[in-house]
Amino acid sequence: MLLRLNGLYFRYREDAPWVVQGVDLDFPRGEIFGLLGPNGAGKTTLIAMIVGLLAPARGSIERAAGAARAALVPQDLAFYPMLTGRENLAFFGAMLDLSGRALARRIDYCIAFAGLEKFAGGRAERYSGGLKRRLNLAIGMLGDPELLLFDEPTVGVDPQSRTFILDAIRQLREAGKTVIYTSHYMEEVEYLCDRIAILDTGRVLARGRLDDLLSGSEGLRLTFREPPPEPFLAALRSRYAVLTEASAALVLRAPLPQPLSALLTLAEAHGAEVLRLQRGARNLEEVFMDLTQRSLRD
Amino acid sequence: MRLLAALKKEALALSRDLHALVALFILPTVFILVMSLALQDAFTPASASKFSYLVDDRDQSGPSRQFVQQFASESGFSAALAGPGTDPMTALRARRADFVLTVAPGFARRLHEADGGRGAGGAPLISVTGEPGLSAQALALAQAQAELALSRVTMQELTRELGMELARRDKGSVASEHLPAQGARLPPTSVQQSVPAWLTFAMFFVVIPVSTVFTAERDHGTLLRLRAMGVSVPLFFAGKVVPFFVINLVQALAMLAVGVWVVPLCGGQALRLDGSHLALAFLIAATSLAAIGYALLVAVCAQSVAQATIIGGLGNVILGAVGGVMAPKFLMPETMQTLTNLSPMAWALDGMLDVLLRGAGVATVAPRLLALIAFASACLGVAALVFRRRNWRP
Repeated sequence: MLLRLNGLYFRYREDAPWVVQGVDLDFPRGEIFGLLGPNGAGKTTLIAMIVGLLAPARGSIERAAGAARAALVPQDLAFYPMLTGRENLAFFGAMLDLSGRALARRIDYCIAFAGLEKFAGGRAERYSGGLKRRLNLAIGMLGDPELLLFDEPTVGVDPQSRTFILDAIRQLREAGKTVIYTSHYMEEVEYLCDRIAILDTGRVLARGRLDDLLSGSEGLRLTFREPPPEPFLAALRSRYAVLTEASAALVLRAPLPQPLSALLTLAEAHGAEVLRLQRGARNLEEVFMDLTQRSLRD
Repeated sequence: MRLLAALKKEALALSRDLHALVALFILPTVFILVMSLALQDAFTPASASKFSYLVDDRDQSGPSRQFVQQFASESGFSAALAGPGTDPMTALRARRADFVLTVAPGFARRLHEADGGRGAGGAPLISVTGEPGLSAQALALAQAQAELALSRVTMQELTRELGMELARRDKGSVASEHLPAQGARLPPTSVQQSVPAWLTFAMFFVVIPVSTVFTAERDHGTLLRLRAMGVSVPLFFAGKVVPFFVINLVQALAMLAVGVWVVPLCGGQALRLDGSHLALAFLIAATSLAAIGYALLVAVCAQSVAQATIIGGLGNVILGAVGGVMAPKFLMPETMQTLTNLSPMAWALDGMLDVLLRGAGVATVAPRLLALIAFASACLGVAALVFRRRNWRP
């Protein structure tokens, strides 16, 4: 275990409500841990306490060796727009007490890691939103941290850069780093995280491995390559109980009244290509709704 | 290394910030040039030869002609001609002269009267009428010269009637000079007022880059990142003070260079640096610390870039106006001169003028140095407290 939070409480003023209340969490080494919750759930405050920017009102934080080498990649674009990407890296590297060849090597590594080779000499204020996020990530990597805390790192990012950032974070896990990742994008958390904690109003509503949290439903999830044609949907509705319906996915009540092969034959007959079929599964949105009776994006 | 990196960062950011460069370097250079050239005459003794006059002798007597001759030979003013048949007052309205010297009718007769020829309701013997744009000083000078000439003519008339010989007094009988500065004779010039004044003003303008960069750092999460990187409050403040101290020194050297080399190229007088260089260096350093302290206090108190710019910019203009930057202190009424002591810009400016004009050394300017350092310390202390409370409290 790299980090353990024991009964953390925090509020910004004595007379204000608790922003974090009674949070107990363990962060295993070498995993990506997702903190999922709507705006105001307490994710950023929790991260600030982990990095040491805020002191908990109650509770404690246990850090194993290595957890001290932590880096925060904040939600804001925390660098100097007037400087080039390389100049920003040089400044923040010096703030980490890096110098000389060690600093130069680290800068080169971070530029390559964030895919900024072609842009590092340009002023950061002229970067696209995605490139700015990548520079933000590169600065976080400067100190070769053991623990990285990402606070909503894909806000306002184009799909291409978003994929780049998510893949870069997965590479960090492969390199043995521990990552704490906050987001209110469920798809990202599902894609990235080994373990998840769902927060709302400062409390942990659920925690555990992603598979454990998503299992336990009696639904059958069908994901199609493209939104299926209406005649197929009409046929489905007449034969099965449809629990939820989205553009290219729907959940049927299980067990099915007919064999599974009959469902697949029906889909094939209507030209609806089934991409994925999951039994006993639900998505994080549904988990969150079950826990709070409201949508994650509310 | 961290301070060097901070210095490099601020220098790079500043070199790419056109507004800050204009505020810190271009604007004060322009002010120094314009004010040094524009105020040249205000700082040099009025020269009578620049002004011309017309004579309207309505007495046309021997003594009246003697008076006109006396005035022409000793006043230094340049005599002009109204032209044949032209009334001198009409010529004055047409601005063909700066003033008209009118000798009243009956001048010779009234010269001997006990009341000086000015009986109840009587017109004066001599009138000096200036054109509307003539300065009060020039008019007063003309009046004084006329009175002098009149006294001489009166004395000559009296001694002639008494059969006495009047002792001649040359122009050189009475001399005037400035008290010599220590080590150098240095009359005050406009450039010596303008350079220290606008240099001080420019140094205090670091409030704009300091506060805008700081506000951006706070709003964009850079402060948060620096804290997370383990940067301490003293290091953060040093990272602001050291770079802007160096920038202030560059400003000072640039402004002094403008005074020494550029102003003369534009037709003005050159700035002379004859005083104690050590005292001047100490004053510049103390002024820089005061300016940076003030800038950091504004920066940590302001809630936005707009607020920082308005508070900082407006505060600077007020400190400058009160401190004798815009209008020299000696031109102000006594109450205002006392009020200037409230502005740290005045402490800096007076100290620099002491050095440049009066050859003052470190000991003489020590009280002003201490005042500036105390101001800087107070500002930095309060700024650090506010900063720690608002931005750095765990």
